[in-house]
Amino acid sequence: MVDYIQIAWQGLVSGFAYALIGLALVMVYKTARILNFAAGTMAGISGFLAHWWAAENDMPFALAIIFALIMTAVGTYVIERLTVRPLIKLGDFLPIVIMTLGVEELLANVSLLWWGGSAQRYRVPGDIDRINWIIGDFRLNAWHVVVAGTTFVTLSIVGYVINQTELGLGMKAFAEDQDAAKLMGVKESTVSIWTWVLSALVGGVTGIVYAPVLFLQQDYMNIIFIKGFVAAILGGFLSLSGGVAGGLLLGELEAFTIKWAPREFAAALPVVIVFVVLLIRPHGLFTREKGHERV
Amino acid sequence: MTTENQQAQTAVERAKIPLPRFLKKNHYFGFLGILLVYLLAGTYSAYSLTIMSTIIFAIIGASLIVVFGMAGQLTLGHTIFVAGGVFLSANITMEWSRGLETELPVAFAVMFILGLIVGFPSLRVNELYLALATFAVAFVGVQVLFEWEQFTGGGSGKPVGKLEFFGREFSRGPTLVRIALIIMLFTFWVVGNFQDGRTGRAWNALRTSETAARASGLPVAWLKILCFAIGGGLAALGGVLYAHTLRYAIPENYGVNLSIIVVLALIIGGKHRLMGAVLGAAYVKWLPELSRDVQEYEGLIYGGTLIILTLIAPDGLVGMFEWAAERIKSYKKSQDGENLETQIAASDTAPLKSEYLSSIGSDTSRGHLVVNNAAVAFGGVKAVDDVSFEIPAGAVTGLIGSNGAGKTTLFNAITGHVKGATGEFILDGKPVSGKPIHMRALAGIGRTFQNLNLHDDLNVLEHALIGLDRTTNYSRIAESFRLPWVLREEKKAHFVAAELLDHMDLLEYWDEKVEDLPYGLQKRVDVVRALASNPGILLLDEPAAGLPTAEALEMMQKVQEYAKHISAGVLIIEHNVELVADVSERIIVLDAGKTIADGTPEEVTRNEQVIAAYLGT
Repeated sequence: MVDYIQIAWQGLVSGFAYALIGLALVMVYKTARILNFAAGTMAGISGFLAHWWAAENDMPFALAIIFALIMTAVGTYVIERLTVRPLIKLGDFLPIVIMTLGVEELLANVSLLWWGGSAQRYRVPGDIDRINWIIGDFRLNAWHVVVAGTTFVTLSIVGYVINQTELGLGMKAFAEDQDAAKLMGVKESTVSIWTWVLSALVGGVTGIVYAPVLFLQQDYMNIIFIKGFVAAILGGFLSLSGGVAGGLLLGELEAFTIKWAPREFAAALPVVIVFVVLLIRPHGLFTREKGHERV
Repeated sequence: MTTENQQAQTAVERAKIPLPRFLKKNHYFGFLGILLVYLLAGTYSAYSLTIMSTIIFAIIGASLIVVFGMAGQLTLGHTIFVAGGVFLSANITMEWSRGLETELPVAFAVMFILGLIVGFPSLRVNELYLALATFAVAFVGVQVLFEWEQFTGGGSGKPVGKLEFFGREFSRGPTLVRIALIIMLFTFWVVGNFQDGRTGRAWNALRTSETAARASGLPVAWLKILCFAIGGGLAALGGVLYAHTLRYAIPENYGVNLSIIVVLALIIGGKHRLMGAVLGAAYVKWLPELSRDVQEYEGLIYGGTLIILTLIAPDGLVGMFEWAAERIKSYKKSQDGENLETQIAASDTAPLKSEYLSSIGSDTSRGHLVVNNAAVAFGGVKAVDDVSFEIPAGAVTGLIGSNGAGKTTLFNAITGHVKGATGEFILDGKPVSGKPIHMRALAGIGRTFQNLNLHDDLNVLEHALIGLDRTTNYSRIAESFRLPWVLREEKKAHFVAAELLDHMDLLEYWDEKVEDLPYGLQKRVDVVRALASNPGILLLDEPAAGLPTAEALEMMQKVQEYAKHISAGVLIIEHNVELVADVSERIIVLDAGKTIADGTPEEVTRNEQVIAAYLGT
């Protein structure tokens, strides 16, 4: 029994990461119909920045994180304005996707040049990522508790922004109907850029809290990015809560598959899920099918 | 025919439309370039690795042109096909001790089948999703390679055996370059043939407008899956070469990075041209040769190049050269004071009497359409509410009604463009309800679109050829090898298309891209595409909207002439009541999804209910 709880908890811990990245992807997709391929690398850079300021420049741990998040926001702002914005008026989304691929290639190489290819440990105060509490047969890592807490706080903040602020209202309006939103006077470029920034911040937080779990490596967030995408597909890609639920579900599925299935299959699980969901319920597990498209 | 008459020329000759030929100018340049490298193989041993990888990248690029450049499916999982080729090659040479004669066909066949599977999500999701789904395939693909030790040797990889062909062993150096060039020639030949043939045209059509491609009767689902299969098979040939170049197959070489680089290379080079595959490959493979510094910042440079090119030249380096060449040409022309608009001589025989169109003509009336209890509901709103009528073969019928009366929705129900439509539709005795859109189109339903659904990027002639796709009679295998009858059929299609354009007064614009044409002409192109498909019944959705009445009448007259020529029925939605009353024998009036009147134009225009609901005071 304890075995199961242990596996379920492990699944939950990875599930939080997938849920957060899934949420970040869905947010931008829903409001702007754009997929950001650089999302994983951008999140990873946040982690590196926090590490760099704290470990190499002796900045207090919390301040380093705040600085890293500010840098993430500024960087995202610049990237959106310089690369994505000029293409939006063309009305075709393929160039934008290609553009984010270019940004991904660029950023991945910037981080490779800056930090090199080797893995580094992300130090947290008091080394609490190495503290394990043993309760009966159940092992509880202290940092995992921090991860869970951060996830809840982040989700609450995002929920607040979307439901209680003007930005959230604008995002909802755009998600519903872009043209109508524009006609009602919602400013597209403002909503778009703050959605990008919010999404990058969620990614940044994920990158930072998972750095101790995963080790800092040049592309350590890519795997989370892919699985966040699978989570978003599970949730139907148009539902924020669906993305979060999809992430948690994926984490559990993965944890239990690793336990019982052959390794080849466990590795292929995300793709299997993508195919199965697209085949049976392309609109996701948690949302109803949308209405008809007009010709 | 009129062979004795010197003036009577075909429309193709008058408009100087180049006919498909076995070898084009591009072919000669291509052969020459490949021959040059072939003969020089062995004189540049210091660079032979770079040359090999350039050739391999060019092959992979060409295979991506199929998937991405033509069919428009952005795939980031292309490396799994390359990896498949590599590991199949390693296994065949080591475990079976066979040579290229087995490696190449097996790699092609196995990856063709894998392509059929990988292509599947493209049916269910839009292009943004697809990019990520294929990205996931690439990402997970390499992990599976790591874990599947029996096939790949796990993380440490597997050696590749001797380079053999039917038992004859070759040294790897220059001979491998020569073999690679032959495979490259083959790949380019096949991809180039697709570009010139009906499959390439169909891919272009589905890239630029899927809805319209379906309405033209193209099997969009199969075409999408096919592009992945063919692209995958060809990429696997590159993989086999890769295996022999590196002599050792390691899973980590074929990860997401390679997937992204091959796509970047093709986009940088230009995704619509084979030359783009070569330029892109040369760019990413030769740039690092320049200096150590470049090598270090390789990825930065590629990423930066892509960002800049996407902003200023979406068609890549080839696009830039073509743009420059175009500029120089038009500058020279204006310097020479040459008249840019060359007038096309009028023909003295009517196009309908010409050899090519007269053979299409038919005397048996078609287009007998029965609509039984058609209904479409959007949520709680009944857009079409239990509509039934019957149209006799060969008749011209008008369908009028105020905005939101359900006219276009009724069309969409008949053609299959709206989901959830109920009711029965029978065309010429054959039920079409329940069939997919393209099957209904093939059964004889041709349509135009209210808000123009043209294939941007394609020219007027190509639109007519897309409509003619079903009458072009050759298999895709014949097409890939450019067999003689492919050219014969293509020529015939060109002749028919040109005469049809002449009939609709579009001949002088044949090589204009549709997005550059004025609105009125775009409407005609839409009609031409539908007419070319030789429909039994033609559904015209506001063909005259936005046109002056005189112009609209002239166009309708031409359409009617042609419809009579092929004995097709016409059902026309139009707001201009004067025009409808003028051309149709009978008018059906819809209001709020229901039929409120049905009769001759005189009866309908005098009907009080119609006046109240539609014609107004």
